[in-house]
Amino acid sequence: MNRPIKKVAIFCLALFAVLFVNANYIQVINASSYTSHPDNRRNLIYAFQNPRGQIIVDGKAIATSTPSTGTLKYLRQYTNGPVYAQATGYYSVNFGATSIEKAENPLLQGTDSRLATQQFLNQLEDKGKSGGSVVLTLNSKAQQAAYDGLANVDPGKEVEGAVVALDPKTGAILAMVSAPSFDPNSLATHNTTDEAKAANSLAADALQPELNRALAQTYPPGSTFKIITSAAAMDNGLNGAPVDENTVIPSPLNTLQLPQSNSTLSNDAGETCGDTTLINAFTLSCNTVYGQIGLDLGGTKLQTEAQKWGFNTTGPSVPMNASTSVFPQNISQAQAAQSAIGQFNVRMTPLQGAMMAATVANGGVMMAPYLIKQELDTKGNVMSTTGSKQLYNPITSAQAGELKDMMVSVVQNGTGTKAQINGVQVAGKTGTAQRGAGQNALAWFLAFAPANDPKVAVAVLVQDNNPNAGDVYGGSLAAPIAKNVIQAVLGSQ
Amino acid sequence: MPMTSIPAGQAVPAPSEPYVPKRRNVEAVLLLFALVIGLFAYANVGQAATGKYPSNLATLGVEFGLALLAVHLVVRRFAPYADPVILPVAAMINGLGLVLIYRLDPYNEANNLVAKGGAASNQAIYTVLGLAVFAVIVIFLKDHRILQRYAYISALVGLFMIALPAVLPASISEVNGARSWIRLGGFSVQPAEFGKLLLVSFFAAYLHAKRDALALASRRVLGLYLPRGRDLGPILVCWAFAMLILIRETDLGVSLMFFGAFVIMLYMATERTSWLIFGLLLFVSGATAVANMSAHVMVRVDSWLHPFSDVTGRTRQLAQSLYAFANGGLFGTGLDRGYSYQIGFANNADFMLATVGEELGLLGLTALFIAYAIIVVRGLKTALLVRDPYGKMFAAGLASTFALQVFITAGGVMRVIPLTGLPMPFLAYGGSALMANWILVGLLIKISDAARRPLPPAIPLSDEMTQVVKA
Repeated sequence: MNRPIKKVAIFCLALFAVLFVNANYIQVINASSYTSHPDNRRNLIYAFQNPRGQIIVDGKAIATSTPSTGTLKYLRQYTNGPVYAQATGYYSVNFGATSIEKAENPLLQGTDSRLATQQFLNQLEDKGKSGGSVVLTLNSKAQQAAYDGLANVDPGKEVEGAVVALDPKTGAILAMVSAPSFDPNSLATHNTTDEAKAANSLAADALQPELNRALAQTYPPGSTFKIITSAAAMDNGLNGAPVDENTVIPSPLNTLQLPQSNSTLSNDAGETCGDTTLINAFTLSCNTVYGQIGLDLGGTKLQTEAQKWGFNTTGPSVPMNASTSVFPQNISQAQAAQSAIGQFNVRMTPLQGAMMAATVANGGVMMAPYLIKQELDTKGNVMSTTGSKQLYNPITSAQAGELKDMMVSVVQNGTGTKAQINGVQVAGKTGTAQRGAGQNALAWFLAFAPANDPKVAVAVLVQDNNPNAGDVYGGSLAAPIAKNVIQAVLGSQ
Repeated sequence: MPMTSIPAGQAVPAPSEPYVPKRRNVEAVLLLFALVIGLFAYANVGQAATGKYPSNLATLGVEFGLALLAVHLVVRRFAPYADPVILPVAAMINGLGLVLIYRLDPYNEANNLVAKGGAASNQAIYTVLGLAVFAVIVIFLKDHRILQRYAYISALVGLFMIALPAVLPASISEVNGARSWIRLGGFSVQPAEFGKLLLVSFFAAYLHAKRDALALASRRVLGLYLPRGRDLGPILVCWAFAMLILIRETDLGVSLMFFGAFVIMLYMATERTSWLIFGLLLFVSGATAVANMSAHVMVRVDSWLHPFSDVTGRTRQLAQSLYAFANGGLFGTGLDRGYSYQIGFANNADFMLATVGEELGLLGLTALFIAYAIIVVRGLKTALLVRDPYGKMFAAGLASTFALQVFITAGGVMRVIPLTGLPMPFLAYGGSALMANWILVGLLIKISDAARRPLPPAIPLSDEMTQVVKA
């Protein structure tokens, strides 16, 4: 009977061999496919095992890792969370990461390959792993001013909006706010019930607090687009003659009849413009004059000009990606007239607005916007510093100078007087973009200051959904916010 | 033996016993080694969890040391020729299991998966009881062949034990979809664990008695020896019984182990490959049919094929088990530094291997497989050495049943085969299984003692001429 017993022994050992081979398969060969499975909480547990790097603004950490009890060893906390929510994003246990927390995750987490040597040395010193930090370009005072400004437009009402402030010379983002905001701490909690509740209420909120309106949403620019229409006129000339700020544009007094259509363009508040200079039309934001320029130039030339300013090209990455600002293609004459005053299907992000103001401020050179100033290693030493980079050069410095004069005039004696600051020459352009029937207009204000040596360019967008809001002009709602942001930047220097 | 002539009339010298080493000291050293491994692991868990050595490390060391010393002395006295490796290896796996249960306790207590106070203290009591049952077997079972006499009673009782949960109301017998328990008061028993031992004994006796009829009376068809119709009886009965377990208890594991053990023993008795093929075909076709009818079995097969199809529901445990193995990698995370507890229910029983895989890594897991394989191989070696056919069948049956259980359980949590729900022998939390496994080891010790014990010397024939009564 021994022969079959030996065979059974071989069979039993074969069973163990199968187990051994399979153990190799699931523990080594195929292990990574299991470890990377999104359902596998180990990644999360390991992610919270070590302190995450900080996000720093003006030398103060606005996102920190504090020791916590429980399976997850560190809790992510945000100081002044709602003010910086769109910049920092959140780092959540179950809902992933957004914004800088997502874009800079390898560095913050400490898995960035540039940190490898340091991590190894830290391990030798038995210090454990930790993350590197990110310094943002934000100016805390400007950020706070922008946040407060949007919050105080129509307190208690459903106000949406965005503010972007740039350093026109470098492209550094000094303020970036989207309203309404949210508290990233509510999503960073380790209490999964609270976390889910917060996520659900954010998802259910019709005002979409998580949406970063500054980058990710496009709006009709309204009269702020007249900056580009003016530039197009200067580039191409009108009726065969060159155009500068003092060129008189022949146009109707109150109402411009659009060709091949029943539509007309009229001036806000019934202003009379008529045959007036470009600078005067710009100062008063004459729709009839700019509509006429649109008719004279035609859609193609307007489109070409807009594209020089970055329209119809994928928005910049700051490192969060901005949406593409759009100027419509193959449009009729009537549509060209409407597009010339920033209506019809022209759409842009508030970031694009800030970049336009910054371009005029910077002598015609548009710098690439960026939010990350520096990356620090685990010991806080600077590992990399973001350099400024030219993005476009849509206009000559002479043209920029003329546009600057026109924008100064808007604030001095035009639609943007509410942005005036004592002792500082502010340049700006208002915009009041009409939307569908029953919807309040969008209030825009693009500005930079000081006009002679610009330190800050800003775009403010306010969408007041309160049906009783009254006049929602760019000059009345948006300009004061821009003024406060400009003052905050200038005051902190 | 060379024939030496012994002068007539001289007394025949008493024959000396042939020298067979008893190897008891080897066993003692190995037992000490097993104890040290367990205590080391325990200290390791304490260090990792609290940064301190467990306060009762020394006390436990002495207590378990004394318990192991006691069983060692029992073996030394009552089974002096027993295999020296089986007992220490079993003790080592048992000790490791205790540590792992202790390690999982904090999570399981917090989630009400085990009673307050933890499962480890209970398992420690079961361990001592198991050692006691082992000692009782070694002391009181004078000869394993006695069991042969009770073959049919064993069969009856064994079948009864396996079948009992199926006929009891589900409120008493059902745990997590499988009806393989008897729960009364605070106690729960898995009678199949004991039933399997009795049935293996019965199979050994029965197949040994019928082997000639089964092996020789067969027709050769297409190169295979097909059994006669009437000889098919036993295999069909066993098959029907296995299917019954599957249908009524929805317990694929017990069913597979029971029928697998039978087919293997049938093969050992008859040496007919045809039986093996026949049995395998029967089981696979039967199980497939049942799987199509039973939702519980179907779910398990489906989870096996698509382990990530429902990671928060049906396939959660298997997926979690795979995550644990994968996270362990080559060297493991170290004791108490893994997250296998997320498997939840049965993380310290059927899924215990996942914790080994995660915290001790592929190296530790391989070592554990080798330990199991040592018990199996030593059992089969005993079967080769033992002289009586019943003993051969019994030892080989026990060893191969043990191997099957390890394979079915480990294969289930490692996704070689569908999850079946058997506890990992010696490692898993559970008194019935632990005691049944200690009985199994006790039986193997007893049989191996008989196998290696030298025969009483035969009275030598003398060369002296047969005395003729002279008138």
